Amino acid sequence: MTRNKKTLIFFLLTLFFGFVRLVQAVNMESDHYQIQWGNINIGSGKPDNENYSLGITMGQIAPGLYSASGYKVRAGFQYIQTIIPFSFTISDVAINLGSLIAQSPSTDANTLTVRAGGAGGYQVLAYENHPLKIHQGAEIPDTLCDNGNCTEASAEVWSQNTTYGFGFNINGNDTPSDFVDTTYFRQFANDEDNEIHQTVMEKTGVTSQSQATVTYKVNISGSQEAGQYETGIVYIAIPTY
Amino acid sequence: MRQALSILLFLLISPFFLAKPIWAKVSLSIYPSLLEVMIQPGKTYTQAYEIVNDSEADLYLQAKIVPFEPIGPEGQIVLSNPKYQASNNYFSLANSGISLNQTFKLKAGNREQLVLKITIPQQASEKDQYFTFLIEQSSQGQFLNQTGGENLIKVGSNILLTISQSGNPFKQSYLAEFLARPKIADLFNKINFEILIQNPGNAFFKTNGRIDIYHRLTQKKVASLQLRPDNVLADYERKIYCLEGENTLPCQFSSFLPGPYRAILNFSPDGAGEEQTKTIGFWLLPFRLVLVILILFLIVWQINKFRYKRDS
Repeated sequence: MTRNKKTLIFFLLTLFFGFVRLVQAVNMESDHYQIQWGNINIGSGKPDNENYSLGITMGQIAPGLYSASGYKVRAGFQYIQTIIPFSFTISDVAINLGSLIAQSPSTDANTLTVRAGGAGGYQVLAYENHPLKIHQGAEIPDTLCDNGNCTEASAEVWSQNTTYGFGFNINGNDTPSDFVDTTYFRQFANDEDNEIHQTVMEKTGVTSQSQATVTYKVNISGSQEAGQYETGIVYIAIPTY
Repeated sequence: MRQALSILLFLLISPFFLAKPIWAKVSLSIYPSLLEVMIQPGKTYTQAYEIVNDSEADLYLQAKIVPFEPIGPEGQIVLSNPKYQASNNYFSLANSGISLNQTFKLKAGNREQLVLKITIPQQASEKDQYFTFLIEQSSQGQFLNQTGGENLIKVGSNILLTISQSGNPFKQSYLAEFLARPKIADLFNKINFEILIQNPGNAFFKTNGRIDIYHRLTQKKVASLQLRPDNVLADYERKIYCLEGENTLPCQFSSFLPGPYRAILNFSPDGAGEEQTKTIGFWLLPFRLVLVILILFLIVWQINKFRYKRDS
């Protein structure tokens, strides 16, 4: 081997080893979390591009085959190539039904907004923690509507001032069909009685934005005990699977 | 003058003393919205979720794992445990300052990365389990200057977990329903295909497949509809829609070519299992066109008849 060739090889080897860094097991940490194991097997679902995902999948795809890590994972929906988060908004959480006068219904409203551009569908469930009541005291029962037949799952007309109770109407995108118009009301599912939480919005398919307005209504008789009545209405928004 | 100044002073100062109306927009988001994991017993997987508080106020939140059951044929769920307790010890958070079922504060406009760790015990049964990773407002901490506020908002992301040593769990599918409605339709109307697939197996699968439509007289394929690859959970069923790009559509067909048609549905679980095929027939006939022609013919005939009578 000529001297020049030896010099060149020596130079290239020096260049190579001079820039090689030692590979160490990583302890990943920040102010918010610390991960303490040698195998980095985190699936973050984060794409390279801000707008598009490659349909992130960790581990091998072929059936019957695992990678050495022993898992196969898919984050997100296979047929949706965007990374839009699943988002749910309530326009105003303080529902104020004011000072009640017997046989004079009082209403208030807010708007629910779902953004599910990265999901193949969604549903919004709703329930009340308990009927409207004074703390450990009297209750305003859930309405039965004018014909006495509305439930947490089925809406009926509530328009008479001699029909009492508490209920809601919802209208807008993706709302149940039993809310025929704004005179149809349901009770909220009562969590205190373990009633099944009911769907108030749902859609099969991608939605960039769905909105619906919830109108809360209460009406009392002259014999209703005076006091400050309250409850909590809970909304659960979940994508479909 | 003095009175006017007093009133003006009162109006300027009073907003600081009168009770502020309590109102606030509350908004939460979560990403990713679905996680599908097939994992061996004894193994661990971690997934980072991003939670964003787009509300007008700081929120006190808790992260929980809640089992769910499917309800209805369109991918909806019902959360199983009304008290929202995790039914096993598979899940934990790797975050140093946050644990499952523990309240943490997320300021308005901020985001938090929650690192969910899934650890499967060596002795775990090989089967599917389904959960929702739920982020909910906590009753602890202050919200809108009130302590002990009721829970108001919860968002979730579903987790489909298959525990399998081999990575190739038994998957079985059954085509419960493939119908064309109506079977005889007018040329200008659409035929709707109703598809229901059941999963009597032990693990969920995706419905990979398509519907090919042929005109019986010409024997030519006139359309092909792609099935949306939805998940059919173990021991449950799913109504299947069609897909065009990223758009979900009902499975429909229409054509201006009258005659008998044949629709062939082919699908297999995950595109790899045993393929199932079913063929149905339907007709497209020019009812309205024939009716219009008939009416026109009758009108022309009546006019000619009237003219003949008049001339004679």
